[in-house]
Amino acid sequence: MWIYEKKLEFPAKICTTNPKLAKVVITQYGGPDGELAASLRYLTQRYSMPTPQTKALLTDIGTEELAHMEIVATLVYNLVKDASIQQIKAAGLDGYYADHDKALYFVNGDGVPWTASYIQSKGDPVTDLHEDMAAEQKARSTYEYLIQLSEDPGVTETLRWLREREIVHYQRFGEALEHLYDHYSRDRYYFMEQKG
Amino acid sequence: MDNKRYCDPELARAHIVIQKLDETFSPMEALEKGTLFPELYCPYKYREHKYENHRRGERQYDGQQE
Amino acid sequence: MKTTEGGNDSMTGNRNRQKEQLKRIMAEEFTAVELNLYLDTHPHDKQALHMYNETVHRLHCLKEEYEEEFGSLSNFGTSSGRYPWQWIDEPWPWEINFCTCNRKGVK
Repeated sequence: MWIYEKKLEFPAKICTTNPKLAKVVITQYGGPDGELAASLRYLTQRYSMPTPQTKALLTDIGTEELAHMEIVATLVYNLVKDASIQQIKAAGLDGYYADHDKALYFVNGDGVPWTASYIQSKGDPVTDLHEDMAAEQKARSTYEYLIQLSEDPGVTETLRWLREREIVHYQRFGEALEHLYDHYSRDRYYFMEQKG
Repeated sequence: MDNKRYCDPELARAHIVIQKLDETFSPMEALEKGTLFPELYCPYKYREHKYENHRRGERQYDGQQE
Repeated sequence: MKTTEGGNDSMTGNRNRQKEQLKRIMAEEFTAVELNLYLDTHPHDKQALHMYNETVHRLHCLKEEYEEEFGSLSNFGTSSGRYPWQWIDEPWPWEINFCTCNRKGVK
C-alpha cells in the first residue's frame, strides 16, 4: 500500500525556461534507465525475493525511485511550462506538443515511449540483484551525460543530487547481494527446494 | 532453486565491501549532498571550461575531467 | 508558480516560510530515508537504529508544526483534515521552485 507525501524528496530548482533541456531530461522520466523503469523493476522483483532484507530493500528503494520520478517530472514541467510555441518548435518538441501539449508523458529523449522491455524480473535473486546494480550504474551515467548537457544551474544541481542517489543505491544492492551469497552458503535447504 | 549453482569455490563473483557506520553529515548537509554518509559521497568532477576568446554566451567542453 | 507568488508581500512571505519549513522537513526525512536503507542491509546496527528513532522524533515535531499552518502532508488517514478539505490546497510539490536566482520568463 502506498501513502503519498505532498512534498518532494529534494528542493528541486529550475532557473530557466528551456524546452530543449526538458527534451533530454525527460529520458530519466520515461527512458530505459530512468526512474520509472527503476521503480517498477524493484517493485516487481520484490515479490519473489527470498529474505526479509531483500524484500524490504527492494520495496524501499522502489518507493524512493517514485519520489525521484516526481523530481524529474518537476524539472521537465518547470522547464516547459512558460515556453512559447516558437521555443517549443526550436527545441524540436513540436511532435511531442502535438500529442501531449505541455503534459508529462513517458518517453525517452527521442520521444520513444516507455516499455516493460526496459526491465527484467528474472526470479533468481542473484540475477535480479545484478540487474539492479547495473540499472543504478546506467542511471548514474545518464545523469552525468545530462549534467554535461545542462545550462541551467538549478537543474544541474538537482541532477547531481539524483546522480548521488544512484551511487548509494548501488552500494545497498551490492550489500544485499553479499548477504544473499552468505545466505545460500549456509545450507538453508528450506529456501532451496527444487521447483516441482 | 538449485544450491549447486552457488557452490564454492567460485571464480567470477561480484564482491561489495559492506559499509560500516561512521561519521554522518548533518541533515541539511546530507540533503544538499545527496547522502548522509561521507564515504559514499562521490561528486561528479565535471566543469565546463569557458575560453576567453569565445563569443559571449558560447561554451566549450574541452573533454577533460578535473 | 501557479498561484500568486510575487503578488502581495504577505503572500510571498507566507510562501517563503512554507519553503523554509519544507526544507527542514526534507532534511530530516532524507536522513530517515538514508538510515532506513542502511538498516535494511544492517538490521542489527543499534547505533543506526538509535539515530533513526531520534530523527523520526524530530521529523514528527516539524511535520506537526507545518501541518498546523499549511494543512496535511499526507493522505489516506495519516493526519486529520480541516475544513474546507485542505488536502487539495495548492501549491502541489511540482509547483514549488526552490531556485533563488531570477528566473527569466516567469510571470
